[in-house]
Amino acid sequence: MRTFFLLFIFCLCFCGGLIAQPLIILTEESTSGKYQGNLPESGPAIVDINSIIKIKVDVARLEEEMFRFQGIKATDSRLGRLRKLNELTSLKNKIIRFINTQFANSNTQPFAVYQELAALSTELLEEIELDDEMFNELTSPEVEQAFNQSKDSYIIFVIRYLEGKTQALRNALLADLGVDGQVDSSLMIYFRVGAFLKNRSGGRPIHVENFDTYAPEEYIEVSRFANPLSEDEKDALNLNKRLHDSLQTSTNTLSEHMKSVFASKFNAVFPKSDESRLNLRKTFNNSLTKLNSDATTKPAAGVLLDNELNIERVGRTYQVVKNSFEEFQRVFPNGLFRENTLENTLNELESLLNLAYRKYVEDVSLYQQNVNIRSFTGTTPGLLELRQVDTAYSNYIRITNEVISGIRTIFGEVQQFITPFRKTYVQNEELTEAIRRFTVGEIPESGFIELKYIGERKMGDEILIKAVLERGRSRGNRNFEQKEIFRRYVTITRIAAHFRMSGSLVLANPYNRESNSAITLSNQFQFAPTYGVMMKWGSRKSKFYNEVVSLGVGLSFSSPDFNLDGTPEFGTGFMMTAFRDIMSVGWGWNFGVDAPYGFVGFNIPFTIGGLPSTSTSAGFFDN
Amino acid sequence: METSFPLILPDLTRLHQLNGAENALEELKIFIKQYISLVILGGFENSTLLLSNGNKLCIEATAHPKQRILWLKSFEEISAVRPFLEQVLKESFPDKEIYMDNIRAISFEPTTQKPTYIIYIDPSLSPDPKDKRKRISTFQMQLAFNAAILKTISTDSTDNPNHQPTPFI
Repeated sequence: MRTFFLLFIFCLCFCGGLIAQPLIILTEESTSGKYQGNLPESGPAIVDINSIIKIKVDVARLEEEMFRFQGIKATDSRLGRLRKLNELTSLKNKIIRFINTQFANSNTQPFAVYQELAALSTELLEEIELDDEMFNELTSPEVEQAFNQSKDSYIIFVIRYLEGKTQALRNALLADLGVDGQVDSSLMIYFRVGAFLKNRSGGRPIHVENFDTYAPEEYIEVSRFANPLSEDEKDALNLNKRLHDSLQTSTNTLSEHMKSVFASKFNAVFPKSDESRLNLRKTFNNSLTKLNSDATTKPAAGVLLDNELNIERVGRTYQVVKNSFEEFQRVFPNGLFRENTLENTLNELESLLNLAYRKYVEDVSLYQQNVNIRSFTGTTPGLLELRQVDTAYSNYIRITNEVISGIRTIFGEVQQFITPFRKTYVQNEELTEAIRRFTVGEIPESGFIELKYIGERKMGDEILIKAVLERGRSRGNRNFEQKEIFRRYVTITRIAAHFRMSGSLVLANPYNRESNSAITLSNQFQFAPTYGVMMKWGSRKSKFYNEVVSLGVGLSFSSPDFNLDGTPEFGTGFMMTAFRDIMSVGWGWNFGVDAPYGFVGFNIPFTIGGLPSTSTSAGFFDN
Repeated sequence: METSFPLILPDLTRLHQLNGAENALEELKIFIKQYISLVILGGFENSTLLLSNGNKLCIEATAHPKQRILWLKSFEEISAVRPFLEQVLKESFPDKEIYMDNIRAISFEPTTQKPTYIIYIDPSLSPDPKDKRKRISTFQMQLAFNAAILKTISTDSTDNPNHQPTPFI
């Protein structure tokens, strides 16, 4: 029984760890403040098109994660302590905000303000009271004396003490890792948050307050009262679509053309260096055989053997470059947009080549200067063969460097040519320099995206919010590493109640025609043009509702002709629409013949009796 | 009724004493009715520093203007008010065992004049494990004042001549 109980407790703790709070919590707040709610951690995240998305960072856990990423073991007790101190810091910020807000401008406050401050400071002090070390230190005569000399109020004094402890702990952890927080170390860990507006036509970065230096875009509030698109607007949209298709085709053609140009240049570059490589290998093998055949030249063979491994390494890296380049050529132009592995491999080859050759030259020089070797004959045995290898080696180095340079030139030309395309593609998700880097101790607790200030946006667009940890600043650095710790798509749509006007055709049925002699209609239903003003609303939980069901209720204004005199009467009533206004049902009153009628409507683009339907707006609902 | 109480030291403007043992009880009752008070009993180690810090808690920018400390230093004064203090402590903390010999300080809220927080001479003697930190210190005096403020239902605001302008943090 006891074992079972312990197992249960273990499972509870384990599961508790698994379902830990995420490092970043997203919340939505309407600009009026009437609505506030957390976005779900999984499943669809839907917000109103005019809302504010708040990004709340769990700084305590994030710093712990950053140190772990940097190399501190998860079992290090200092991480737990840092987390505790950071948790207190979050309360600390609340107190500082409160004091700054309430006490900054006036000395006399309502009593409730003192009570609020007392509650907040008690919460902080009671948390500290639980920690032996901190409590004992804070109540020690030295610290009491320090407070006596301080000009801060006690709670601020305590907060400064906590900040000092936290920073000292961070510094100790960084010192253990050999990272100097004052300079840009390639081992330094940075936290970054970026947001991107994405839709079918691509994407662009958007401003996240506190986390980047992008300027806010034009203020656009999506109106609550939307007209259907005019014919001119539809024409403009169609024109845009045609232009887009044409551009796509042209881009594909251009890509193919560039690919062939690129391939021909590439093929012209590589064989030459292959030749020099083969020549080096041949000279090396011949020299080695010759030097090994005579006892006096065997030491010279040793020089070759010492450098054989390096030559092998160069050969292997050369092959990697060749393979990478072929792969790059195959996937062109996409390879340009991705992680630039080819560039890294080129750098590696270049550095390896020069190191390997320098080592060989040094070894030959040392061999030449070796007194013991010269003492036998007065000359240096095997030097001739070593110099032959040197010639082949230097030739290989020179030619391969030319190849590298050639590849870089081609690569640069292509990159330059496609920069306009690359820019839009890369900005889809790349964390540019405008996105700020934060080290431990600097991370803001929160940020927000004000959707009204992100410029042009449409219903159904998505906002990608991603957070990463990076080791070092430069991707070119060999220590550079990026770890994505948060990635969430948020769909923007119209959730708040809004109005929409739309025209359609309905089938009207004057159901009590027997009691009204003015109705001469013989068919059960009559087509009638109708204009509706509907109130619509969206869902924060269901994409299906927003994209398919999309209900609306409102008033209908129609012109049936129930007495068949050729002059339409005026009718008005209530209507309900569904499936993005494609279907409608309702009830109305015909004021011309004083008769009620029920109706159903199908809001699809068709023309009947020479009457064009104005209902195509269902397909162009985005506004 | 606004009554002035003598200061113990001229520069500690929120640290008061009684006018002798004769009217100690009556004066104590006036004091705790008039102020958000912390009543400290007897002498203790490092008292100069801690009382100075306690005074600082009452005049700092975020302190309520009515925060005051009353220090009953003499045995006679303490003896005169001891039965009253014991009674109100027992009424307000019915679940606690009250040993008056182990009480160092008590905070009071002015509306009902009930005690709100106890600081002990030796907290380890208290059977309640939650009291183990409650030895006199600036930390505990701040908690005592906070408890009194939180329990106060309402209070009149008065001018606070020593109230400092709030620095922007």
